[in-house]
Amino acid sequence: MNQIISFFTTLGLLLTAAVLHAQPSPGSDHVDVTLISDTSVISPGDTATLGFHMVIEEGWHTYWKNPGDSGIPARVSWSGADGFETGDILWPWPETFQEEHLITHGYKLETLLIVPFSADADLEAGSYELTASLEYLVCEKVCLPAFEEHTITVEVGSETEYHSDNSALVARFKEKLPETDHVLEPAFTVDEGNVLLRLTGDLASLGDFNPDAITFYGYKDDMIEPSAPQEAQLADDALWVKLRQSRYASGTLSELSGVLVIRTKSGVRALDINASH
Amino acid sequence: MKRLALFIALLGLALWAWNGTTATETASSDAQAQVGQPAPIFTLVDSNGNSHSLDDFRGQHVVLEWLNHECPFVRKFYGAGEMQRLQEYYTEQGVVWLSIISSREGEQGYQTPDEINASMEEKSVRATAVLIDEPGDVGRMYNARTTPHMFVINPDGVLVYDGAIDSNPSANPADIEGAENYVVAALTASMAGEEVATATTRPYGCSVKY
Repeated sequence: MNQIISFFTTLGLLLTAAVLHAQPSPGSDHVDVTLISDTSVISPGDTATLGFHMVIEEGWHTYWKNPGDSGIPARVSWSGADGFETGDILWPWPETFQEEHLITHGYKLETLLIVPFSADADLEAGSYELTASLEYLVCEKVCLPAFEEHTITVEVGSETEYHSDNSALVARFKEKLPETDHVLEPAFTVDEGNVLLRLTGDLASLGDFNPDAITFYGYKDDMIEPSAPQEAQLADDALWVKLRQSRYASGTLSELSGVLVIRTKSGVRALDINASH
Repeated sequence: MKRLALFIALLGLALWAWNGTTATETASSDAQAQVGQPAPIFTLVDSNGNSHSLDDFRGQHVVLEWLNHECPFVRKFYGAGEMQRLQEYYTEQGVVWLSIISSREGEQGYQTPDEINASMEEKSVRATAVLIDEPGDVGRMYNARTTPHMFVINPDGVLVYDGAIDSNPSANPADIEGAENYVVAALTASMAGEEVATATTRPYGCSVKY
């Protein structure tokens, strides 16, 4: 009898140990993340793109680089990447979320966090395993942090070969990166905390748009107040956008950088804005 | 030069034109907490039924900590014992540490007085008191946005810090080490009679569940 009890106790302990061991790092049940590359083979010296493809459960969202009033952006650190250069995350333009009394910036349903990478010119051909530790926050009404590890095998060979599905995915989200080659000239002034952004140049290049459908997102959280109403209007051959300086700005804003998201009749334009004064 | 002058003139004109059309968002009632100003006075009841008024603590430093034990950012600090360590260290120095729960009943972080006391015992909480702020009036008065969201009030009753607990917005307990704790920095400066260098920061954490 004692032996039987002992057997079951041991079995129980073993099962508990197995379950504990099998438990993955606390990832998210609300986001499926896949680490992808737009190449199946990369040649030494070439540059390609990695991406964290996030498929997000309906009702939940993750955050942009400036999350707004609360939230935190994803962070990544790489290991096993000797012989490769990995860049900072490139962030597709975000959407606005109202979380109770706060306004935040992020992504719902699907996004791709884009990471440029290159293989060193003297890297030998072969298979390399790159591991990313990814930390992010996913919120619905409540917020859950996720700490995940994602591994990708990178083949280094004499000629770079693209992976067609992943290339299409990367291309689809690169479309959502702020355009740095637009022709508009930004300038701004600050008066009692009211920031007035002015864009001049070939406004016609934007196509037809409704000024009410314009949103500016500051790249840093100490520039623009996320919850303050924004207003845009066309006047005197310029597009004017009225913003409110962030309560966390130190002194009067001397530099304004962010993305101006304009919903035009033919699609969304997201303009990279950099202005100092 | 002429173009610049024209530009400035246009900007001025535009600002003027806008003035009439928007309500100013700067308007705030007298009761709103603002760094450098007297901290708004409040009275709240703690988990043992005792009433505490901010007025009672004139002459002492006071820390306000917005609390929600179910929030991962709060767990980051309580799970690692860091919040309790700070509470113990500073209350021993004569600082009053008030943890405030503004979660609405039924929302994340709401606790009955008995549940609060059970959490305090289980987690070895060393706050002076845990105050119940339902329906959230004090949270709104201080514009408490997140849990945690930290405030430091000096012995003259002036708010000297409003913001994040530290410089690393993360839910990972491993990030506590290496981050600059702004509450420690504010208390250290203020207790030495110096000005608080970083007096306002963006708080990070879960939204307060008003």
